[in-house]
Amino acid sequence: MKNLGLNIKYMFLETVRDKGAIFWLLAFPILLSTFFFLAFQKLDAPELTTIKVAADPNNPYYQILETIEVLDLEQMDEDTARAELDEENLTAYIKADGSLLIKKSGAQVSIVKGIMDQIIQMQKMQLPPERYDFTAVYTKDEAVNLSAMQYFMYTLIGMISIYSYFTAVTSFSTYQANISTLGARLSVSPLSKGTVVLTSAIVSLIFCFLSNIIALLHIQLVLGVELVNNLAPTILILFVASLFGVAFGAIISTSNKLQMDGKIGLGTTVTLTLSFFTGMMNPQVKHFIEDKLPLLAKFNPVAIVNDALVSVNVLADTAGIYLPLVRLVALSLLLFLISMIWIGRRSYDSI
Amino acid sequence: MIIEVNGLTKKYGDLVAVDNFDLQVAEGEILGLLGPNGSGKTTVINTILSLLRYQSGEIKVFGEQLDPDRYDLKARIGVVPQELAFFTNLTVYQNIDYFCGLYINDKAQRRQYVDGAIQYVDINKYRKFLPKQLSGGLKRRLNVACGIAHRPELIFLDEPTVAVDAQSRQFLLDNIKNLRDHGSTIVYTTHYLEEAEYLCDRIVIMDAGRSIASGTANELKHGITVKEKVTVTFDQDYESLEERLNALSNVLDVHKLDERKYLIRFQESNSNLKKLLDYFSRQGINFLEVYNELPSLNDVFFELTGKELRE
Repeated sequence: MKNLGLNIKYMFLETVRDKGAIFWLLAFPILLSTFFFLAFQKLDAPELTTIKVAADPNNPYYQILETIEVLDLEQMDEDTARAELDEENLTAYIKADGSLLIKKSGAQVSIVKGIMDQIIQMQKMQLPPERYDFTAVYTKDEAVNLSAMQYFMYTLIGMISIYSYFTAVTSFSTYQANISTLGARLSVSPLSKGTVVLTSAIVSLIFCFLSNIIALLHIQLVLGVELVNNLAPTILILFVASLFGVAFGAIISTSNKLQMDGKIGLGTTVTLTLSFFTGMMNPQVKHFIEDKLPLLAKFNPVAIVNDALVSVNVLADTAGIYLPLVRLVALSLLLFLISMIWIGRRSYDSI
Repeated sequence: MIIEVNGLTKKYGDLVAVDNFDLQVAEGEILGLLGPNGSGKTTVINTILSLLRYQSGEIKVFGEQLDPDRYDLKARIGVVPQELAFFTNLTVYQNIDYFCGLYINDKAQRRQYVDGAIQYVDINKYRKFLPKQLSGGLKRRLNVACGIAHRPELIFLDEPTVAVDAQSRQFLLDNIKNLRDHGSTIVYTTHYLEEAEYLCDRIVIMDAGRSIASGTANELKHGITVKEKVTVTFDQDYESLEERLNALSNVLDVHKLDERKYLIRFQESNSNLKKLLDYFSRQGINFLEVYNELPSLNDVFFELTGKELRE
């Protein structure tokens, strides 16, 4: 790998002197978090969302359902429940066999369905009711002492880490002959693919990681939102998140023939969509995705970062974050590998 | 041969950009690709450099096929693209050092080469400047320095003097000759006739993706029908002047350039001006100005294509 150090040095200088890049990397996260802070200030009362459900008192699940905080359970027979469902005063009626009577589907129905599925599953396994842990699966975010502001800020950190793709797209695109004359010039030099990928990845990672740290410090120290209770794993999460952001940028840059604006647009669309699925606009969307599209929930990087930050800093659960982070690292490496195959050192139909 | 291109055809969709093109570049020569904008010069270079895929033909550089991952061959080549291509946030020195560093590992040697390139294009006092602080001509010099600092054996210069002031242009041309004198082989594209004539050992004239003629400037000019041109501005309108001039011996054709200004083209270059002046004297024709010139490459292009090369 010829002159990797020289490449990194000059790519770093080129980026650090680029006012546009510095704005997006450093100023934008600060502005965005401040904007979020101002917008969500009123939501900061720790309000627990409950879901109105009903069941017959003779229902075999009644006692268990009573213990679940997220459910606002009322005694009701089925006929009355139907009328209440029509009036939309009720989300679901739970029948004796555990099935649901609903008027329309939605995130809240998904949560109730998830709870019932787990109860039935646990019963089949003949586990005692006290072993049920609904908060861990369905209502983790709401059941713990987590303010709306904290929730949004954790999601924001997740989004910012993926948003780091911007730097990577710019960096990787520098080397592509079909993007710029500079790219063409570099393409006819003896610069190897390995050097290109490593240079872009390392320089982007440095900036992305700094960007995340600065955003976190700003939220914690300037805006006063308590996010970090466990520093070391938080740093690890941010590093892995940045790594994924860079890998995501690499694949956005190398996977298509779009010009820079198109690549940035594509990345922004994907980032915002993943953030939406993580509940940035409405926390219930996250539950809905977890229920209906579990694979997406499992591999959604914004959700992984969000959940890991909450686990470490709010639930004090460090052990649970490693598997999702390993998954994210593996996904990042895969994206880097594909990028390396796709990036430059090839001939084009036109440039 | 340093470069051998045989039967190269490159299409963009249905548009044939390069049509069955042949090219041979010998070691140590400056080969000029001369043609109007859109004639396919840059496309030829980009296909030789393996930036562009092509439909048919064979290209060899240093006797081998230059595939995109032939880093060993690329290390022997320098490229100065038509558009400015350097980092906008690195200084002059850093830019040249970066590009040189892609080829030269040794730090001390690289420093020497970078300093050499800076002296070469005479931008020493701007070495700490960012490109945005440079004039257009200085940016062009930087563009050249980035492509030649590593002292390549083969250099592609794609219209390096476009939008360059006269002083910088002459400076660049002289230095390109120096590069050749120091052993580099150069492929130089231009649509400026004077540059091609001044600089190039051999010229390939291109039009519509085809090579329409090749040779030294003199060979090309001798190969056409026109051997001498005389431009005359008369003091008044003379009756049937154009017909009378056309009837003179050796005259190929007569073009009226202005109200009283004519261009007379001769097919032999044997004492045409003297004979013409004798004729004017005998006929009582007075003129205000007269001058003769040998045919230019533009005449070559005009004769071959029926259109002017000059824009």
